[in-house]
Amino acid sequence: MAISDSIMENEVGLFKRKSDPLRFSDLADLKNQNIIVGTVAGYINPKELYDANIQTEQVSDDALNMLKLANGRIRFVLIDKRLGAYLAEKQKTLDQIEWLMTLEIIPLRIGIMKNSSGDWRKRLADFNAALLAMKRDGTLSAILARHGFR
Amino acid sequence: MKKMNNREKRNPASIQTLVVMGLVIGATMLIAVMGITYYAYNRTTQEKKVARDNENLCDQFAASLEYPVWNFDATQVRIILESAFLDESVAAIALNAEQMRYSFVSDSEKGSRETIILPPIGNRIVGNRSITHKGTPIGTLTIYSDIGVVLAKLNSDLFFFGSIIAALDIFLIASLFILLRVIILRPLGVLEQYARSYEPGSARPPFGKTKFFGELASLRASIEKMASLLEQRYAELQRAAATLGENRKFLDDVVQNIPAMIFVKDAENLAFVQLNKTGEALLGYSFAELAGKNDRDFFPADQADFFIRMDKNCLAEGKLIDIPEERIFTKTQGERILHTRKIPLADTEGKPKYLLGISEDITEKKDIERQLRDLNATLEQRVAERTAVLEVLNKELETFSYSVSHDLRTPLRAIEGFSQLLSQEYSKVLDSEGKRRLNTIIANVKKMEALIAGLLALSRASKGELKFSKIDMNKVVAELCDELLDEKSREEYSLIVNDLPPAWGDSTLIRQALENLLSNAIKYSGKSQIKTIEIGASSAQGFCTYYIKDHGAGFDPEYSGKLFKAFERLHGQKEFEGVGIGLAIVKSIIARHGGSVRAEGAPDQGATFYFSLPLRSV
Repeated sequence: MAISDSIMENEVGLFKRKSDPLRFSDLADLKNQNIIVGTVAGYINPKELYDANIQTEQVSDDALNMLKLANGRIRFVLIDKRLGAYLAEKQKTLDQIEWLMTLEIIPLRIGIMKNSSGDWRKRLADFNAALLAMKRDGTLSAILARHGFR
Repeated sequence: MKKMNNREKRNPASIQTLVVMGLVIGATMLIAVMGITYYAYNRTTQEKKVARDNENLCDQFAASLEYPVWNFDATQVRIILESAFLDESVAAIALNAEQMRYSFVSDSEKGSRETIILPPIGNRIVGNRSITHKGTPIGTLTIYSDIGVVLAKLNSDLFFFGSIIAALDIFLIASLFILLRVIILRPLGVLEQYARSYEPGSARPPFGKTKFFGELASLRASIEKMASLLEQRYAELQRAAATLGENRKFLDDVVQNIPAMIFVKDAENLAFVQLNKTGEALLGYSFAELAGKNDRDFFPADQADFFIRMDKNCLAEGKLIDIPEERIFTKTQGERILHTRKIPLADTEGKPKYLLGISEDITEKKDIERQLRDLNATLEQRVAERTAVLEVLNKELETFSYSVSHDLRTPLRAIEGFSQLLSQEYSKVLDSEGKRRLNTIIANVKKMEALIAGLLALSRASKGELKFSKIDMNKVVAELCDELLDEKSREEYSLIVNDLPPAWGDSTLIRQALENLLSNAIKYSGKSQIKTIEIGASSAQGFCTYYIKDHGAGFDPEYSGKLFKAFERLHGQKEFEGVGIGLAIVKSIIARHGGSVRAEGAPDQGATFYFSLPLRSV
């Protein structure tokens, strides 16, 4: 697979309930307090989380994790910041949660299958060129802003 | 036979019908019981199984739902909940958790459908489970298991198996019936026919070709044996009946001909139920006239009341009553006097049932008794008169005999004296014939003297007042032995004197009697070789009997009546001296004491003389 240039940066971190009085200094504290972090099966989680050996609880999609967080089933959800906010808003729980911390920032790209029909190099080059142009003329930022990304 | 037929009509159901009915009812009941038991058992088992399955499903689904519920995974939850309907007994399933409320019911077409209304519990088993996650309750699962599904299958099974069993039942009943008919019913019918048509005294009915098995074969043999025994018993019974008839006739003849009236009344109404010929003749009524009626129908009221009262007394006391004399007014003989005995006759329970009466007509007997009483009264008077006359005559006779004896002695002594003088002073003048005749005169005079002395002694013994006192008989006998036997004689004679009880009487006279008897014994033993004399006594029946026994000349018993008469002798003067007055004196003395004398003996074998005196407290 060939990947494109970054379209935008995605913050991956932890959401928590506002009412949760949790205090911690680093991820090791979470481990010590036996805190479970909601994750989604099949996702690659940040290395720090693995390194801290924090207990996780997987579900099939992020929406369930957000629902579980709002209902106190878990204390943290590992999720993209923007996706989490989107889901919470959709679930009408946005006012109950808050972003705790960002664990990593991941550039978002698209992938082009090299064995697909057509010239994947050209297709990649065309996409990158168009992306660059949209970044430069502010089209990309406007589109993202229209969809809630700032 | 007629009775038996009537009974058969009243009870027409044969054993065959009863057996068929019994088999049908029994088999049906058996099937019903088996079916009910099978159904109840299976229903209970299935209900338990459904309940158990419900529990297991609850456990399984609660476990399966833990994470989907915890994770709010509605898709997974739905899939899991709908999968419950793979078990056909599940009628509905419901989940009640935070953010998750789902209910599904069984749908005959789609398998299941989501609903918001759960089915009524009804014929269902409801299982509830709490869904927990790490000990925290997060929801509740409810599963409705429908027993109806199981029961429907069970009913279907029951119908199927019931049909098979019913078919088997019909086959079994038919088989059993055929078997029973061959083994039992047909032989039983033959036996029943045999028993019904069998009559003692006639030919036995045949058994035919029917086969008999087991106990019925034994029963047939027993019935045949019983029939033989019955024939024997029947013959015996006929003989016994004939004998009984004869005996009855005999007894009836006896009763009818007994010369006393015999009647029987029933205890309840005292009505006549039996009367013999003597009774008919006495009363003047036939039994046919009396039968069923009582005394009041025939006799005067006072007599009838008396008879009935006596009857009731007899029945009440339950024992024989004797009526020595009762009067009855008969139809043909007027008033008669009866001696009647009445006896109650009880039934088997001891209650009086009849009254037996036996009446003897004592009218003539009572007449004779009356005549005898009259006669006795006359006779006693005549005896008293005769006795008085005899006493006077006896007195005169005694006086006369005493006077004669006394007065005769004076001339007799003169004859003796002058005869002695004639013999002494004129012996030379008298020739030999004259002397012989003179001696004859002297001898006869002496003899006459002895006779007169005897008469006087007898007279003395017969008169004069008796002076009673206790007499020591041992002493009297001892004194007499001393007097009557001199020293020489005592060596010749042997005296055995047993202990003699004392007597009560006039001692002089009793001594006289004993002396006469003892002197006789000594005299008549004089020519005998055995000169043993035994004296003894015994007491019996108010008398003491003394005896003197010797082994002398004895006497001919044919003439024993003469022994105690005055001047009667059984031995000649030359043989044994005496005038024949001693025993008459003994008899007179003992008679005056109220006693008696007797003698036993045989010629040359001795004699025993007994005299008895009344015992008295001495």
